[in-house]
Amino acid sequence: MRSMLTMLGVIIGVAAVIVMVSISAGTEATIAEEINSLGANLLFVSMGMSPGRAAQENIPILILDDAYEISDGVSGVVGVSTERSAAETVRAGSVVLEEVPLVGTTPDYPEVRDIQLETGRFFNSTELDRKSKVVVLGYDLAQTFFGDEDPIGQSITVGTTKLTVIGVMAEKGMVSGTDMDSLIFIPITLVFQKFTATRFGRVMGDMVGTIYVQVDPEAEIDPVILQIELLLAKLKDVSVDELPFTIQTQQDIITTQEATTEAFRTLLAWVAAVSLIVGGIGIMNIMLVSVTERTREIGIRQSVGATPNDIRWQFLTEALVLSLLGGVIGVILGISGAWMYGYLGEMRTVILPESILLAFASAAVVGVFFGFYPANSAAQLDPIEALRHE
Amino acid sequence: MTGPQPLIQIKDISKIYQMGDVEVAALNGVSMNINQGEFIAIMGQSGSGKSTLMNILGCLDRPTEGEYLLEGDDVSELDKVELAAIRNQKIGFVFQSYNLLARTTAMENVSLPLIYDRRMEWTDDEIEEMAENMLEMVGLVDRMEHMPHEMSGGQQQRVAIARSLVNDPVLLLADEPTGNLDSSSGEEIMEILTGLHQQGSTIVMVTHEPEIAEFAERTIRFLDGKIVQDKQNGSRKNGKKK
Repeated sequence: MRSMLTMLGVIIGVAAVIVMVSISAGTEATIAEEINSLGANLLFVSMGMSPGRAAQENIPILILDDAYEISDGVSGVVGVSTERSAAETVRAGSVVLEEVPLVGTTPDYPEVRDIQLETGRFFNSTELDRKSKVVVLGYDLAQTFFGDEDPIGQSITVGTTKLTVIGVMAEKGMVSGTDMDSLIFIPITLVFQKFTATRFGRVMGDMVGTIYVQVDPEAEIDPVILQIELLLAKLKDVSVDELPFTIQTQQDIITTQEATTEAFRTLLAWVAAVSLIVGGIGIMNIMLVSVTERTREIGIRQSVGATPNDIRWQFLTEALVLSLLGGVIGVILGISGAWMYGYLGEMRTVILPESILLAFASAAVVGVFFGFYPANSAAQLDPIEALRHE
Repeated sequence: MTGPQPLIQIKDISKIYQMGDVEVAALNGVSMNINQGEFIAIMGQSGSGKSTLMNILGCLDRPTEGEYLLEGDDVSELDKVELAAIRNQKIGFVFQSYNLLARTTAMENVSLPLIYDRRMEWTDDEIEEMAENMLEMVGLVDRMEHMPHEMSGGQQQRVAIARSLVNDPVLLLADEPTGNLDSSSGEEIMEILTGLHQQGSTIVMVTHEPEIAEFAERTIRFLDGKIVQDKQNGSRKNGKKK
């Protein structure tokens, strides 16, 4: 019982190491997957500040035409898409959903963002130009509205506008914190006309958030970035250095995400270190008590010829056994904890063999480090004093 | 009676403890020789220095001054590790309170000195055989797997004697070996010690009971850290056994 309490610190420390390493490894894997699922060979052109502030300070903003210009004027670009979001109440027959996220976008969207269509088709450029009242549903929304019925050709009412369903997206899941399956996709021109013609509408016109540029896999990426910068600078009538937009590659985003993960890792390393130190102090404490309680035993062993080294090894071994036992329990708890976390929560966890090894190694180091002082004080006992001890 | 060279030669040994500002001499210039095969009883009141002498003889402690030759080698200047080796190989201890390891079988208690023996690496089988022989000698071979708390005081002391002899020591030190025992158990222990003496073992025993001291052939009396009497007993009790 007492040994159990002593090991608790090490157990918690080791379990914490394993749980957190698996969470961070899982997060990293998820991030990598998400970034890949954004689409291949993408460049992200985005504004460096909020649109409101840009408007106040008379700084250029990204508009839909910029996307067209990039598509037409930059070589090595195979697709350009952009989006403008809004939220509206959607009605389909008897089903009414409030605050459904709308994505106004362009015909290249499925290809650029690497999403397939389940049934039907995405809207084309004619429909975009004509602001046709058509809609493509996310997979889950199609299920919610129409169940087993074929949604193609059905009508839904978005806000006050009646739209015809022409397609359903394939299942995609979460991408960058957005559930792709509960979105509805509408021609961006229609969004500008019907759904964002509010407060900012007059000021912003057809402002867009991010322009996604898909680059030909054969093309060099840096000249493409340079061309886009030059083009945008010309369009906005500023120098390239003053351009208030950022152009990021997927690699840039991965690097940013990795920096975040790195910071998280440093934090968890500290948490683990602190619990292991606390665990180590627990072991030192119990070993000191043990040495005191077993002073007579030490005296007996000395009287039959145990050297200081023999005694030191005996107690060091005990400290090591305690900490390694704590390590084993901690590893078991940590693995089941990480598994539970992955099972119950939405976070993914990946258990790395290295983390188990690391956890064991740190438990052993703790055992030896904090066991040394008690073991040494046992070794230094005077045999006569030790034998006299009651 | 005297061999070519005494087993133990003690020359002018003192042990001085610092008690605050006062120096207390537990032993004050003691000299004596112990020959191979002698059975000596040391008597004296508590504080007379007899326990201090036992500790020095047993290499548990070092004298402040003086020379201690064990088999002709000076052991008074050895370090802790060397003293541990001497205790392991040349000395056997029997204590008043048995000093067996609790929660450890008789067998394992007797094996303990062999485990710390650095002269040779005994195999587990050899250790078991030697320990079993010793337990057989003290008549406890049927108690091998018993824990100390499962045995009587007399049995525990017999285990302790088996342990003290397992490394074939040149000197057996017994500190009040019958002090915690009833008279019949004490008698048994003294029979074993007498038997060992008759087989040639050298035994030094501390006691304050005159009838126990009579088992020995020589009695040394201590008072205030000095020897006040050193006489041959004429082996009265030993003689009676014959």
